[in-house]
Amino acid sequence: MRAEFRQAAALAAAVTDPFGALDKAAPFRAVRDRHPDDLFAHERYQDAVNEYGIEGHLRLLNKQYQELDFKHPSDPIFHYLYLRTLAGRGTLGAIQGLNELLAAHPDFAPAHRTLAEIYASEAFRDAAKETLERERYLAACPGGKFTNWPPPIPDRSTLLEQAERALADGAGNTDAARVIAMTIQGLKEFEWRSQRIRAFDWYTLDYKRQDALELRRHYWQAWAIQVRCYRQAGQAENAEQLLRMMKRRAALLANTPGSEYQTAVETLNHLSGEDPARIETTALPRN
Amino acid sequence: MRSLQSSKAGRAGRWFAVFVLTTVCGMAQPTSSSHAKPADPGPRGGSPGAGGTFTVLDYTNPAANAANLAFFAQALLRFQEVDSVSGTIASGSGLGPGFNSNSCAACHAQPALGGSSPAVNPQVANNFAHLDGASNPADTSRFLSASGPVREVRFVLNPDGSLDGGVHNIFTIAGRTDAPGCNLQQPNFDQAISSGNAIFRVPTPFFGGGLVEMTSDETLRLNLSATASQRASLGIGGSFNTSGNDGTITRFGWKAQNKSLLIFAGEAYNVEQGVTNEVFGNDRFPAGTSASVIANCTFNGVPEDATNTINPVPTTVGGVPNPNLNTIYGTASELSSDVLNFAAFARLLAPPTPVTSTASQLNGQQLFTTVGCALCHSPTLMTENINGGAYGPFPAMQNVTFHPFSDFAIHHMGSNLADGVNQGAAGPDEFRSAPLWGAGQRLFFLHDGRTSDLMAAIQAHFSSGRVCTASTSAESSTSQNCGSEANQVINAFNNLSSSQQQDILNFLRSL
Repeated sequence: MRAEFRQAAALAAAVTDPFGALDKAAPFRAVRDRHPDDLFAHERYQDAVNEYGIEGHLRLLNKQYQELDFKHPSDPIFHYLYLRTLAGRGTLGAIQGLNELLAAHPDFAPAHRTLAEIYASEAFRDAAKETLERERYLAACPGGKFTNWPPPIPDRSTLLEQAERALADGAGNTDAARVIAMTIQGLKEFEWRSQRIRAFDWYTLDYKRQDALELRRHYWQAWAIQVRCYRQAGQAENAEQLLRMMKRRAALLANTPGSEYQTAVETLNHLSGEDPARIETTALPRN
Repeated sequence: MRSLQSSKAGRAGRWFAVFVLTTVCGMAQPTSSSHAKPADPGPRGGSPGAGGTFTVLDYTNPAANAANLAFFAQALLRFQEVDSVSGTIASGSGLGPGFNSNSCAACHAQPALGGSSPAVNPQVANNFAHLDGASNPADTSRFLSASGPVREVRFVLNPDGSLDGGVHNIFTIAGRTDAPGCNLQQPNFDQAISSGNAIFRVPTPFFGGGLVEMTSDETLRLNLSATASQRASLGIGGSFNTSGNDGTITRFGWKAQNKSLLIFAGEAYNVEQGVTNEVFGNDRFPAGTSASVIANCTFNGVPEDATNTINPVPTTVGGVPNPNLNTIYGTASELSSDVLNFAAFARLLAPPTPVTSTASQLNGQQLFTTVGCALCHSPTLMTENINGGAYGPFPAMQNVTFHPFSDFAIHHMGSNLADGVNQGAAGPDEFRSAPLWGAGQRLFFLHDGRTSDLMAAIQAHFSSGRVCTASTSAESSTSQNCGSEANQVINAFNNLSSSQQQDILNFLRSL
């Protein structure tokens, strides 16, 4: 089994599509399908989806185990596995369910382990309960290992910076299509990172809000790069089209004069200053 | 009476009696040039005759009135919200997986917000197909153009031949920067159009929606029954679409399929923009979409739009910082979901203001009734009296006489207009009598926006053959020759002189 897990991990690592969550989880799913009665095979597959997936993948995982739970109504393993899909998604529900499961099956060690892992997480930290559940698990399974939750989130994309550099280095000889593609891919990577945060209740609402705000700033950064890129490549019409879209969006923000609006105005003013035609951008329409 | 006959007023009275007699007999003197071929004068220019709310909403309580007017102002802002997938590009979130537009206001825009399709189609002009990196490779030029109407597409039949009728979104979020990994494909519109399986719908305007909502079933039934014998003599039927739950009359939408403005808003938010909400809470993927595609294209929890238990609105109207931000306090609009705001906006929109005043328009108004148009396009209805008019939410909208030019009933319109779609009790060729208020500034007519010409729209009401009734088969109304209930009325219209027809067109453009 360990060899199969290692092989699955290697196959997952070989998937180059950064958004290929299902492809990355597929090798682990294959192991699980080969060992449908093995708890660890199920857990490792769940961990893979948690490690790579976003909202839709996590929801799919939840439905898969809900179905298994329905099919095996008297089997605590499948109910446990279903409850485990709630960890990080509806964690309080997972805690309640696991405790109910333990009330009926006090010796069901994996539930103690999962509770210990939840109580060890920053969002649901409870040192006393963690210790208690950890001890109960280790008493039943000496030497047992624990998973750290939450799973890692992707690093911030560097593609926007790379695009900026490519633009600066190109100095009139920029491969516009390449730079534009880099900005689009960069935005997608930022969005993906955000999705990896948004989908979980491991993170606070405030943290999610800050992340969303950061992401919105990256959009203005990317659009500015694209405008400069089009201008440098002599594609004035594309630059103008994008600028019009940016102004429309800035106008929509005019009723919420927060930091994003400031970013919008500053970005447009910078672009106006750089444009030989000196496009008037300060007088944004208000709706 | 005797003394009046010798007076000026008496002479006027006699003249009026003669006028009425000749009008009823279809002999009214033409008021437009009798030789010119009648032509749609086109959409009325000038300021929009619609788009605002009522001057007073609550005459019983000034504070409540001010609050209601403020509710409308805030709801109007919400109506203009633009959605992106997760709210990272535009402030609203929940767009997709499929969508036809990214905001309500983009499509309900003519002649003012809350109306119908604008002159420039945002689906094309705003480049929804490729906005924010979206792929959407399908060629939509067979049914969308920059100068054409905003449209949604429905498929008549499922691939297995069973009835479909549902909306198939024109665009998907695949390729957008805020939908990384999504690979949902567009439906095969080309094939559907070529096989005659695709039909189109354009946005319905909401002006006066609250008055329609506040009209009792009894009023609608009385109005319909009042003309039963006249309609029967002209081969006009008419029935109401009703709710399958409580049996009451449904009245919104092209087939009067929606019970209330809230249901309408909830359905449209989900169907047109893909935003799940408290009324329609499930993501919409085409039937047969694989679990992996669904997983790859699902980015938000559901519902994406819900009641705000914590006030999320950063600024009030005019950009003033909201002191209640992130508290449990706030206005009705701030604490309400988007769909409730949309419904409130539609509910509080005043009806269009007609400008019927010229001799031609006034004559057209008479003729409109004479030839029988008004038998379905009822000129006048009344809203309900709720608790003596004092305790309803909007007292000024109670006991109001209004002029929708609709009976809100559904009628068999024959094969020319049939779209093969069943919605509730409305069959393949049945449509609600489209309310004509605001027709003066409408750009596209009929359910699919096939024409901008009022005359063509009128003529499309004719369909030769016998009226097909009690049919739910799509083919029966589209491939057979089903007649229209309006045939005799259209014949009567066509028997009018050119100038009389012109008067009716002028009248309609005054609404």
